[in-house]
Amino acid sequence: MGMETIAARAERQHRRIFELIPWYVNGTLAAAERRSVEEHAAGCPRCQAELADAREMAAAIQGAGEAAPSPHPAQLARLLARIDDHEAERAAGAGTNRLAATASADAGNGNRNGNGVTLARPLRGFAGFGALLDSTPRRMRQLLAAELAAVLALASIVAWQLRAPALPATPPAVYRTLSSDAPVAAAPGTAPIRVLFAEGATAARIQQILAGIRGQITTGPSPIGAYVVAVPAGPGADPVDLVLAHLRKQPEVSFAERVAGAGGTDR
Amino acid sequence: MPDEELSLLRRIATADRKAFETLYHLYYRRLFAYLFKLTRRGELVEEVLNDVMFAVWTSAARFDGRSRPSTWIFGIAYHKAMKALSRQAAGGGRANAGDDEGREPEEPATGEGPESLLARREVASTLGRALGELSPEHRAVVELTYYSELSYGEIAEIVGCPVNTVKTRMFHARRRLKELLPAFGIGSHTG
Repeated sequence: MGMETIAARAERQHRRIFELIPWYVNGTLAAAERRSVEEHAAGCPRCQAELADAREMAAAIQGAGEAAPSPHPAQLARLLARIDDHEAERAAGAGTNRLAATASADAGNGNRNGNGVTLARPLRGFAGFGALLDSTPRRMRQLLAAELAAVLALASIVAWQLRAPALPATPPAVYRTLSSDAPVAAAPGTAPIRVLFAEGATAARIQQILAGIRGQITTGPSPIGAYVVAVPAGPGADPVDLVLAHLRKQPEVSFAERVAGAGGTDR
Repeated sequence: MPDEELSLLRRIATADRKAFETLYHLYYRRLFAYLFKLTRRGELVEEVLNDVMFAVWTSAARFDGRSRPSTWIFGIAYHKAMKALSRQAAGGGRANAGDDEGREPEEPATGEGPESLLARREVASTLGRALGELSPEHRAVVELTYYSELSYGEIAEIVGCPVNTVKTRMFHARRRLKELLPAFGIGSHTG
């Protein structure tokens, strides 16, 4: 009876220590707890084994995830646009109109991100945007602000592209038919993606979108309007999935996807 | 530099965009990795990350400074990630629901393929698959402990539950991982 109680208490103590082991291993226990783990483990084979396991798990998990991508400028631009909408709505709710101020502040942001001579000029045109917004009915204003955000998103991508290394001068890929999923060979340093533009998309807009992703048409359009586009891939380039995500958010893009089985240097 | 982060949050509370962009760049990669680890859905990460940072913008004024800025931000991220996962599950789980048979765990069945280098490398690994088998709540505790190296107290704050719940979740997660990883080496020490 007395023995059992002692055993039960020891087991409870063991469980208490055992549960702390992950945080012993990650080095976050307070000194007193750390000591109690060490003292208990010294005489407890189960806890010693668990310590070894936990260290192994910690090392494996640490080693598994060092490579997150850098932020895509389009993503930040989209977030800032959302913040603008939010602030504009709040301002409208408060009876003041801060949208114009927000809009020109944004043009400033674009400039700052731009970092480049080429970008500074087109963005200057946005200064007049604020005045235009001011004299526009609220509903229209939101549309215009959204438009502005889209343009800024694109502008910041272009700006970012300017800093990125140029595409290798290798001639574009050999390809098979558009509709087939047969492998499409990609030029070194590029990955092929398939893009279908919406019916109303103008040629100018398509070019603009492609410039935004530094994409080069390798074939198309197919009868349904699909293109295979080579985009930069590999070290220093943007992850292809972010490029795809960006494309899918363009109203003129009906779909964008990887070319299945492509053997590019996509990462 | 928690002090720097604190002052950034204070400035964001006054609608300082420059401070916001600085914080965004400071946290982007960490949040990206963290959100991927919580959700294991590459296609969710970008959207959830923007939701998190948007929430930081709108509620920075409510940050009371009792916890570290990172704890507060990771807490927001945890809840946004869980919400996104349950939304996805409720919506018929874009593609994963209902095709347990013949499902390839290496390829999230979203039609997009794994999202990032991180995703690709990790999902393909045995460990990644095993972690993917855990419930999001259990996985979060494992990742926050071993990847983010947080104390159980900080984890309790982030996930919004008592400390004992954190320990219990970890206890069960470790047991499950040992079942799932017999060949991994983990579990080879204990009988």
